[in-house]
Amino acid sequence: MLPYAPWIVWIFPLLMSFTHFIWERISKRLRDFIAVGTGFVSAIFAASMIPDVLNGYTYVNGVKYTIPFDWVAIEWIPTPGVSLKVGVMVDPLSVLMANIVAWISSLIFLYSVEYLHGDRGITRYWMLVNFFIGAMELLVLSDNLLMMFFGWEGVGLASYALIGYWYEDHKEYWIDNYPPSHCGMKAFITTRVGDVGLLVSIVIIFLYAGTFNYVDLANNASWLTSLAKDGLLFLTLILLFLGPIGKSAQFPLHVWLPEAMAGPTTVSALIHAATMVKAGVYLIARMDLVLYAANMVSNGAAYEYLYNFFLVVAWIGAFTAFLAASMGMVANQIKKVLAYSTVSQLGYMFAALGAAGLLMEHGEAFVDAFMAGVSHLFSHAIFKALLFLSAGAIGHAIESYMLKDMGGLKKYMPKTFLVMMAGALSLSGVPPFNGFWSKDSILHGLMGEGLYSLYLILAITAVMTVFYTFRMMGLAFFGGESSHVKHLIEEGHKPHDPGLYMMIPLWVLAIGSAISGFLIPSVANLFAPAMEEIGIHAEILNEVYFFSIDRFVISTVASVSMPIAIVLILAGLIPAYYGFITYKFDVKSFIEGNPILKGLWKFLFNRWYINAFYYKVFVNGVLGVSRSIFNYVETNGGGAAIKASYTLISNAVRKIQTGVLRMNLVYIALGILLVIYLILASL
Amino acid sequence: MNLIIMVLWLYIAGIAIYPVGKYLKGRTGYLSALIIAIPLFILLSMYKVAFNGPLSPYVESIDWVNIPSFLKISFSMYLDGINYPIAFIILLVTCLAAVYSVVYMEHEEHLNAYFTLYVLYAAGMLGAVMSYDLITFLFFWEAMLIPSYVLIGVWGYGDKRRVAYKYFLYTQLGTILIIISVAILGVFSGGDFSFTALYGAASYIPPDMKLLIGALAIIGFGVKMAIVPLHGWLPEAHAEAPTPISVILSGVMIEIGLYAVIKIYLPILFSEWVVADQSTVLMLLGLLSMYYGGINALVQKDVKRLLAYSSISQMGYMFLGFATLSPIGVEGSVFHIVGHGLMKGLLFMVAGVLIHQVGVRDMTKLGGLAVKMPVTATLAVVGAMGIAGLPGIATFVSEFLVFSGSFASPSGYKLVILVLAVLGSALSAAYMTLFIRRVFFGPLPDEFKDARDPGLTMIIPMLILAVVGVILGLYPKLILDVLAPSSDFFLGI
Repeated sequence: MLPYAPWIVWIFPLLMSFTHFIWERISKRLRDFIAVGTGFVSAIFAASMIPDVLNGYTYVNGVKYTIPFDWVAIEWIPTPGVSLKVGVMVDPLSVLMANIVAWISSLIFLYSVEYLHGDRGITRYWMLVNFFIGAMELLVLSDNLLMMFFGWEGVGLASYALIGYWYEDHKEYWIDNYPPSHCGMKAFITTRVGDVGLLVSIVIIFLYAGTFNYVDLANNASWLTSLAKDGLLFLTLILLFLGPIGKSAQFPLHVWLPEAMAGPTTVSALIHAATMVKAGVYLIARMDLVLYAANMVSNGAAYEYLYNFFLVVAWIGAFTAFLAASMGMVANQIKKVLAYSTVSQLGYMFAALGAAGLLMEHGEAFVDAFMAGVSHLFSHAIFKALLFLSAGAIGHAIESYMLKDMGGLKKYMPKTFLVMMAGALSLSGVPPFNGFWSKDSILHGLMGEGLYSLYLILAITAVMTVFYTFRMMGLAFFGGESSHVKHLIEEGHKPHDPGLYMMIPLWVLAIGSAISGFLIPSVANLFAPAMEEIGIHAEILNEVYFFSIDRFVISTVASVSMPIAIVLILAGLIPAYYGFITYKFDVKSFIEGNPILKGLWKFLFNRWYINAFYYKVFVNGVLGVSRSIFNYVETNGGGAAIKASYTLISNAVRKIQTGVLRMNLVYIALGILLVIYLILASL
Repeated sequence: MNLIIMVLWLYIAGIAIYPVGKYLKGRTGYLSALIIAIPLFILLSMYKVAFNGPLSPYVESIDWVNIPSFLKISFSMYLDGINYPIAFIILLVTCLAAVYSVVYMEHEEHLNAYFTLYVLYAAGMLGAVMSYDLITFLFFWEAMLIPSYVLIGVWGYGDKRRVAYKYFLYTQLGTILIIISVAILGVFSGGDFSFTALYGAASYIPPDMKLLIGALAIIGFGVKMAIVPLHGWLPEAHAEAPTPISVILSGVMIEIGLYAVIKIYLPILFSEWVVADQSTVLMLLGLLSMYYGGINALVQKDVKRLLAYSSISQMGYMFLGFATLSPIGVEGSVFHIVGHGLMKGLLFMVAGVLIHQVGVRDMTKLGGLAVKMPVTATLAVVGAMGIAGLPGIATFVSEFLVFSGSFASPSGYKLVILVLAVLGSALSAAYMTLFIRRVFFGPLPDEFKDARDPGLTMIIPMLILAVVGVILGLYPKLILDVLAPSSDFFLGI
């Protein structure tokens, strides 16, 4: 690796993010150049770590990068003198994530140069996105939970600021009824609720284990067993999972992601599709490895709690996948379709990683499910970034993200159509695009291990995925031009493909979507040494078809899941084809004519009323209660009561002060008697 | 005699400002900042002393009254790991707020009197946290009340006389209770009021009496700390004080009450007597403040009132840290005094910028100012994130320690309390993002078209607070190392 690579990868962008306002003074082009360059520098350093991982750096022997002095020394009773060192770790998972983040970011930066050209706040944009990749790389490269949390909140801050990037709340940037500044706040607070759980569990784990370090947590399972003994293990892990639920927009904290689309599309692509929302997936993948090792060390002493925990993870993931896909089928904005789709695909990853945990006692199946989740993360990052950037190209051309404002764009934007189609095919899981391989290995794994109910719900979701993907493609590119497009053409703003800066990333990502499926075995190979390290024997690894490309392809294509996959694709594609591509079947009147379908449509369009319910209870409810506490308790309660009681006492006491001399003499006499009594009593 | 000279210097130089300030006029603020900067540098140069544990503090003492085995009062000052960070934050914040006052108070009358009182106020606070004798402490405790009372009553806003009066009455009522508890303690320590003697007397005090002393002290100091339901004075006083004084009131003064409880009463009362019930009750009191303040902050329209209620809420965190009766929690509590001082000081300065540059403090009328005041907006976001407890800022470290402490407490309800405490930080995030959104985001009203960032005299103090907050957030060891030797001591371990 390049010298100090695991440090420079995140420190460099973090530092650079604070310099853009200087470059801006010199030249705007220089500033753009430096900002994009920062991304690529970080990416090159990240890439330089790959050979080390291939050569067998794992999360145990890779931890050579702790700085020699303590960062924080905390004295506390159970184990005095705990100190925390700043450390990064080079292991397959962190290096994979670091590369995904850095390379996709860099491509998106390049795209941003053209996309945001002429925007007033672009220096702020560069500052925030550079800060974002720094924080995100810190999140994935840190070797302990506490530093991870620093990155975790850092990306949250960047996300908050970038969702509200157009904070002046011009009407054109609103998502339905919500202005961007509101959307940013919503995202921040919702994820913050999840972070509460994460922080609580970090505190508890720290107090039990006396460390934040992943390696120590994996190698010393005493924290696991003593937590289990106190009956806190399941609770602690669930609290930990709340963090990923918030960050990765899983049910019940999924509500913020659709509104997060108020930011620039590049932000949606970078933060709310390709990278930040994966932080939760990353953390669960990390916990998979840590808990697997800890479970081995403790000989399965706490396995039942771990099993229950992973059951929750898998089911939350599967349910969210279904929930969000159902909402995606009726969404009215192209970015919202993609947002729901992101939530749904993240659900797949959680389902796979949860299943991996369920299969912890069976080495091979664990590796299989774990790798399926991780490889879906990898392919999703590529194709979803591609889809968002293509949607950005459409929005750039027609100045709207409403699906009703599109239609017939294929003629005007053929290149955009082509690249977006690559993304759509990938999302639908059509071979040989990358989404097929990873999604298929999730489904295949679930079926193979007998987790049929999870399999079923994800298979149904796969059908819905194909449907909403092609509905979106149809509404955007096929059919007749909408009145908006016609209007634009009349005004002389014919929609057209974007320029070079935007097209290059699109082509790179499109090609990536098409072929990167064949990289999945190589990704899996990155993990081989690490898997051995946590106690999975080489012969088991060899049995997992994942690790060689020909066996991977053959076993996938020849397996029973291949025909099923084709059936699932067709089941979603055919209705979408007739409804939204050829328009032979009038979906609108069909739904209007059927009261049940209409009710269902409304239910889905209103997001199962979950969002409305949250607003009613948690926003208006809390504000209402607060207002009445302020009005009745604070303003008219406490203070007024004190005032009233003072008046009461003062009026009562005042009556003694008669001003009559004889009364005063009586008081004096009583006083003297009291003093004499006290003196006598004390003798 | 460094410490005694530091305090005396502030008194002498503070009084000298009065005649000199008549000639300097507007620039008196720089002189005051300079006067406060001198003890700040002396303090920084004594960083090594701060590593002394509380059993061997650095003490300077002059006898005041010494009648053997009857009464012994000395004018003594000390420095150890507990009061070093607090003395540092007092001097830093007062020094910066003095610079800030130069522009902020430029249109006011009688600036020489203002700055005289200002420096005396700082002197009172510094004296209070460095006293090593309970009577000396009480002297300075009162000496910091009087200047602040006048400062609010004369240079404040709104119904300032009544507000100042209320502030004075509330605090004075608390002080009466404190004096009673001091008198009782004096009986047990044989009339010797130095802290060493008081700690030594701890084992002679019967448990019932400890409960009484504890109740008196916590209610007495609770008024200053504005622990709900003793907070009545705070929202008005902090909102209507001149902004540099609000910075000091919220940033450092109310925390001195907590410092006193931790430093003086905690070792005496709980040394051999850590009881789960007490911890639970006190922690619930902390949680009440935390939520009550936060809930009220959520619905405020006035910027400074929001910040005032936020202070009540943050005071709840600090009180919770103390109430855990565990070393790690108390450590977090003291650290939070520093972190909160920096961040709340910063936010009050932002509010002052709004008052000075825009002239509006009603959030329903503000909006969109980020376009016109990018620097202020950025600093406000830093402050808001600090109060929301985001990692990278000092307040995160302290809150983390407080949370850890609440789980390490002897209470039987520690898990529930931990979850509630952390959930409280989501409430902080809510009212802080709401503040940012209402003031800086959204469409810009027409009347603010000419608004712009203030000059460097106001920006630099804010910037320093933000930078120190970030440095301590990224490298908390600077203060944790100082606090660590003391942490075991709090509970006699």
